[in-house]
Parts: sequence; C-alpha cells; structure tokens
Amino acid sequence: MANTVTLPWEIVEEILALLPSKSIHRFRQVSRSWSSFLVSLEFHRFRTKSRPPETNLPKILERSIVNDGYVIESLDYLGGGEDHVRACFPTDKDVCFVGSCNGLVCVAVCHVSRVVELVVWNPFTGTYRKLQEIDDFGYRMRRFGNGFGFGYDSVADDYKVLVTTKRVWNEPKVKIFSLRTGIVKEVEATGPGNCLRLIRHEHKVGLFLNGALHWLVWIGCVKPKIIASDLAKEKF
Amino acid sequence: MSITTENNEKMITLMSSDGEEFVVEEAVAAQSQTIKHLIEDGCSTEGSIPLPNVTGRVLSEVIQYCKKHSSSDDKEEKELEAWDAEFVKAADDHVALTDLMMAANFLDIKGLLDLVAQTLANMITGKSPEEVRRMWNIKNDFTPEEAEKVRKENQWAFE
Repeated sequence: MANTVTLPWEIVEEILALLPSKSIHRFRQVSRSWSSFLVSLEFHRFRTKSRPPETNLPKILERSIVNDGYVIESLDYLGGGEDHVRACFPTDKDVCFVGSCNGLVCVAVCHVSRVVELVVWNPFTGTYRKLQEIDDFGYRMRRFGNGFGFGYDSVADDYKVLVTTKRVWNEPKVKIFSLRTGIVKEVEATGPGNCLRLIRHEHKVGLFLNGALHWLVWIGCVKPKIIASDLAKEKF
Repeated sequence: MSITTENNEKMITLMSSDGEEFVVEEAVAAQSQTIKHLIEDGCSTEGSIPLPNVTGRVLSEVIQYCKKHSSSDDKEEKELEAWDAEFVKAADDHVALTDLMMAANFLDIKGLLDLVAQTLANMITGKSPEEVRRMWNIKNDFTPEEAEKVRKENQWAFE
C-alpha cells in the first residue's frame, strides 16, 4: 500500500476550496460526501472567503448570452480567469439578468414582460432559491421605472435583492429581499436615492461593487448621475 | 534540560511518533503554532516535545521548511518562492504531500499548509473522478442511478 493514503476530511476542504469551478463540478461524482459538501452553501462561503481580498471581487460571474436558450456564460476569476463554464437555467419563460455576486446569479423570470419570479441561482451546483411569491409585483423589466439589483451585505452575511418601485411619482420605495432570513422590507427612498425613480430601462440593473449597488440615473435628461446604495445600511 | 547555542539561541527537542529526536532552535520550532503554544504553556520543561502524529521522515521535511522560513526575511520573497517550489517538488508524490499536509495541519503551520494544499489542488485539477478516488482510497458510494443523475447535471463541466 505504498502509493495509497487516506485523506482526512479537514484537509480535503482546504484542497477543494482551491480548485477551479470546472474541477469542483466534476468532483461531485467522486462520492456522496464530496458531492453534498461541494454543493453546500458552507463550501461556497469557505471558498469565496478564503481568498485574499484583491481576488475576492464580488463579481465573479458574467453573463454574455441570456436570450439564447437562457444560457449563462460564466467566467470564474477565482480560477485565474481561464475557467470558463456554461450553465443553463431551467425555465421555459423569459429570463432577465439582475446581477451576480460571489458566484451566485440573480435572475428575474418574466411572463409577458411582467416579473413573475426573482430567483437566486448557483450555476456551479444547479441549486436555486425563489424569493417569495410575488403576485403583486407588477414589476416590468422592459419599461421605465423599476430598478433591480443583487449584492452581498458583508455585515449581515446576507445576499440581498433590491427592487426600486415608484407607485407614486415622488415617493420611490426600495424593496429589499433577504436571502438569509426570507424577509422582505420596504424602505422609503428619502435621501439621495429619491432620484432612483429616474432610472432608465436600459440601465435598470444596478452594478454591485464594494458592498453597494450603483445605478445610473438621469436628472433633467442631460447629465447622468451615479447613485450608490449601501446594502448594509439600507438607507436610500 | 534546556540547551543553548553559542548565539544564546534556546534549543528544544522534538520527538517524532517513531522515536526520532530533532534538536532545533526554538524560533524555528515556533513557526508551528501548536508547538509555540506548547512552549508557552511550559510543556517543554522536560526538554523534549513529543509529536505523536508525525513520523520522523515527515518531521525532518517540516523542520527543513521551518528553518528556511524563520531565517528569511520579506526581502527575499522571490528566492523563498523558488525554494518553496523546489521543496514541494522534492516531496514527489501525492502520498508524501498528503502526509506533509496532515503534519502541517496538526502543527498549525499556515504557510506550509497553504503551499501543500495548492500543490495538491494543482495536481488533481485535471483529473477524472475515478483517478481522484484511486489517489486517496475514496469509495464510490453512489448507486448507479445517483451516479447517472450527478453525471448528467455535470455534463457541461466536460465541455
């Protein structure tokens, strides 16, 4: 038995966390315990947290094609940028990209341009979670008015989806969906976020960076302005 | 019994699981957080620290690493990196590397643990699930149906 050795679990974790995502996916076939560990949220956190801050950028997934069969092309920066994988989101409805962060992707599932479901999806593992049934949404992806965003709140260790609404013209509100607690909050945008009502439809998806979502808004149709919304403070 | 060298360096003795003794400077041994805590707690008053989880062969490699890393400062980072690369290359195969990693884990030497983990990760990155099972004696405990299901879910990982 000179060239075999058993591998204690505590060091398996250390090794697996360093693998590129393609290998992680393939090694789900090794055994039951490897499979269940590799799809766990615990592993996902361990993998993204064990990186030095400069490589732990929030956006490790990028969509390049969504409309062609709802395939997401993802580029894993943790794997050195060469680790290119494709994943298919299982739905027969229209899908819009809301954002990506630490390897998770948020998509809005639409029916006749109405958003019927917001889903946070892990394309590495194929697992996903729907955010609350949303019968009263009336949110439109293709029209003026609603802004969407997805990001990570490192203070609460929680992933959040933000939707800006503007039922009444001058009183925009921000709806916050928490992935950890499942709670939905609605906050009035009385601060600088007040101009979130001016989001244009081609810029309705906010960009997540350094703990905040950023939207481009037009005030007076001339110069665009960037509004940053801190996910931890939840003040807009 | 505590020995000191000409430079007044405190020496301690480490004893491997198979009874081999290694006399090293305290600063070298203290690269291991586990040993450092044992020294601080006064567990080395008898002059030697027993390490029941580490064989003499592995311990001598670990000491080599600790010696190198306690004598180099930050300026020599490039040289140290090259030295590290040679060091893991000399460990030769996954069995030796796994032993080394288990020792680094038990002794709590972060630099060595990271180095060996990265080497092993690089080693298995392109391997098939079957090759990985063979390397570490892992039992394939999937039923044929489960195996097929996981394989299908992962198809794109082979593209």
